[in-house]
Amino acid sequence: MSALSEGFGHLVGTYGGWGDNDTGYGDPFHVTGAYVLSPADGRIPDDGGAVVRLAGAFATAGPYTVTLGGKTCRSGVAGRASACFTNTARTTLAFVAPRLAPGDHDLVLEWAGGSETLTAALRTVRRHRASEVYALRRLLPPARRLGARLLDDERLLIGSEELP
Amino acid sequence: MASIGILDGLLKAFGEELTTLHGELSTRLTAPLAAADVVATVESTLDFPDAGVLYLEGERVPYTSRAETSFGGLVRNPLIASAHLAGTEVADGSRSFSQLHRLRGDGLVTRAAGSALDRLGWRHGERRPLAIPDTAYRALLRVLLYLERGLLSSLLRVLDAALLTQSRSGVAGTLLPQPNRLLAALGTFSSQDVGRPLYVGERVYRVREVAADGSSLDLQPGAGVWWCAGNFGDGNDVSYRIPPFRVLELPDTDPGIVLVDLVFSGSSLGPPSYLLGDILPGVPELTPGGWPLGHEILEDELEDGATFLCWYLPGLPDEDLFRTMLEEVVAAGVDVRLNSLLAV
Repeated sequence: MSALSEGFGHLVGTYGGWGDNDTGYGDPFHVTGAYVLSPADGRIPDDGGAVVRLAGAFATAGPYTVTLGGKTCRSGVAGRASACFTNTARTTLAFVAPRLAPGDHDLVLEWAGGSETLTAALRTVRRHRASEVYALRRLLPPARRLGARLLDDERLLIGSEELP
Repeated sequence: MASIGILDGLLKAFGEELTTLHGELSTRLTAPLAAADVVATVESTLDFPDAGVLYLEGERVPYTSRAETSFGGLVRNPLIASAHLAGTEVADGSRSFSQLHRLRGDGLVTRAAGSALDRLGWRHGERRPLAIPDTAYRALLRVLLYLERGLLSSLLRVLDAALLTQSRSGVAGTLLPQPNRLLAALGTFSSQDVGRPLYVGERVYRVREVAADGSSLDLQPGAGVWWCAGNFGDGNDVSYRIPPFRVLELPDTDPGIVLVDLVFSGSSLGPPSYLLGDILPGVPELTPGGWPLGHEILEDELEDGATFLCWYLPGLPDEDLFRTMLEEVVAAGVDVRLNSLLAV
């Protein structure tokens, strides 16, 4: 049996207009034209937690394992851990960025049918400060170790190392 | 890498959201800033606007550019500029409208738009009439929600709001000897304009007379409740707007009950003029049992799927009854589709 007909019967021709090795059900081997949809400028904070959306023609609905800067990204969906899935139309894929040191980072998508690497897809920059975070922390007793209660108590973010 | 506790993570997430909603972004200086410096080195400019305003210890500092870790083009006020140490908080002062402000804006007629404007109308029992754009609906709500109801002036404002997009506007000139006369090109005005309100800015006048060649009109300095004497001086820059209707008072009915004479200028809007009495011959009978009279505005070709914008005065029992009354009195063959009922 030809490799082109496995599981889906014999296919006529070797190119169906949707990429090589097309089985008639889309292309499970490639992600076509993937790019960072949001954040639009491709910049994410270094403390993680930013939701990133990729756009493109995705091979399958998932699960995808997304690795950014060598760290596995979480799906952001309860119960799915790091297994990321596309939307129904397979045009966007969302995941949550991990904590990373400032700099450009490669994005690696891995799924059952293959993998794809987007070089320097996202740039991590230092986080901004959110005044309400400190206000909320101050509401809780000092015994709770929640980090700085005042902005002045925060370590100044200089340099490019990843902060603990 | 140190792990983050659940409570810390939740607080951070909530704090970030609250900051987005109504707080202020901030960052910190990573190098001292002298009083004359025009570049501030900071931890991050993430999510700051490309140009805007910063606050440093009470000093307001506009900036014109930003890099990844610096703000450039600082405009320092020599009277208040001072030096700042590294670590000083730098707050974003550019957000004239935070998300919370936008939420508040959605509750204001003047600022709400789209579905927010619909929700505002629903909350006050004033649904958006079909095919009425935001501009007209907003004007309508401003009248319906805030004006005293039942007055002739209120009715005029409602009519004007509902038909705002069909008004005719232009620029006319004036001559000092005849301060109430507006001059324009031949054929600009027509006899259909006589009796119609004419807006100059927020002021409302009434057209008394139109020259036979349509090159001028006289405004009526009457004693009505919604127009006043005009005196535009001598110039060539009077911007006017003429709504597509006249309002005729019925002397033998209660105050606030009017007949509407629609005068459409556009060719697609039907015949040049309709009197409500022509459309509804039984208008006086529309008040059985002392119920107030309803009004209607013709919006489209009467014979081809006519659309009415109707409302009623306070005291009318309910919408269905009004609909029944209206259907009983309209001429046979006329398709009555009540667009909406608006309490005036």
